[in-house]
Amino acid sequence: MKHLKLIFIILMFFTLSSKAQNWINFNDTTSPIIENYRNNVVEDNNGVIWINTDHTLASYDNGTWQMYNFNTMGLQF
Amino acid sequence: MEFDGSNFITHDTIGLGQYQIADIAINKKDDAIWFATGNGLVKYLGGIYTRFSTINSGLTFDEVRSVTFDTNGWIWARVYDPTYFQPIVRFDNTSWWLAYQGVFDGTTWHGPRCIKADNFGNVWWGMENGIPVRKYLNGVLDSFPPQGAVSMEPISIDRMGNPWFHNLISPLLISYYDGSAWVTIDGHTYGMPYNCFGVRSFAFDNFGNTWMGTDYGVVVFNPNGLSLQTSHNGSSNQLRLYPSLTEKEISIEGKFAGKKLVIKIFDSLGAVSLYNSGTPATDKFQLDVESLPDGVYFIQIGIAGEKMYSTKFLKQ
Repeated sequence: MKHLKLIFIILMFFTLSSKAQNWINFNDTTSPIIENYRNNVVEDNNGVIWINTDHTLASYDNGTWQMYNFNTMGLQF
Repeated sequence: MEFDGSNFITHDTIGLGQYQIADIAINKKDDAIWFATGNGLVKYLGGIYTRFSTINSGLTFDEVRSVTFDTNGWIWARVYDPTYFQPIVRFDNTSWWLAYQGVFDGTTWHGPRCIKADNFGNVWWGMENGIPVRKYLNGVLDSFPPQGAVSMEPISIDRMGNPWFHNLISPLLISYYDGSAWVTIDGHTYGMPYNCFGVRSFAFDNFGNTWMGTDYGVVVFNPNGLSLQTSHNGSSNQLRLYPSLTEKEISIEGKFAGKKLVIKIFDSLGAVSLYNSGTPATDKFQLDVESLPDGVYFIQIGIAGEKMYSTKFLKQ
């Protein structure tokens, strides 16, 4: 019986771990985004994703984050 | 502010005034940039700002919240007008037309909350209360609600021209119209926290993922499996095609230099519209599709010794 349980657990592990990930939540702990609130997203013609909040701007392009500082870039908010 | 690819450029605020910009749209017919502002619509073309307000236009109120262009190049604007309950006005470059006004039934007002034109001539607007979605095409206004929806916003158009909405009453529900039927998605299945009040906007990347801006960060999902960057492991996923909506050409990028490629493009009826083969010397090239009639196409790329890669794109 113990062996059956072990086999079941191993099968469950492989079933779950082989399932493709189909979502991710980018927030202030999982990404360079520093604000979770009021996120707006838009893509440009090259497929780059732009994310803005009340005080920040970020872009995501093929795995690379770029953060823009409103003060140093001359942006006003 | 304008971003030229490396720097932000501050434009003169005299033409725009000191009013908040609620929305921006570009007219593809003449590349004019239009701003929905707290003091009317402002057009920017060739360095000149032109303001349209209640004084010189058909706007019923000066506060404009949304702006979009249909396939004719006509402008549609949603006005924040308490008298007409956020009406929709249209400007066809000659005359203004009050296309739609909200209704107050004595207890609740039913007004547009968002508007967006797609690539097929339709103009969509999401409503608060009452019939949640309206669609305008060639003089006909249809009610177009996804089942069970009550209030819908925001609206975004994906790479295939499909409109996406978020259900205001059931914040975890997302709906899009795929051209023949509504598809409703439970956002919690794809990472939306239960306490997520709603979606502020949608975006669509080159990998088929949907991005949602929320009050709890950014949620990215793809029911077919998330892929956020080009893979270099030698699988068919290494290919990157963009943009999915194009007028002239498609960029194809991957690890295929020196390998034989076979490219086929099929129209929506399955007929081959373009066939090409060759051995590119570099890992990136542009495919000219300008000669194809406007429409949805399927592109199939075979790399010698590897799996076939296929995706869709919209020629406009």
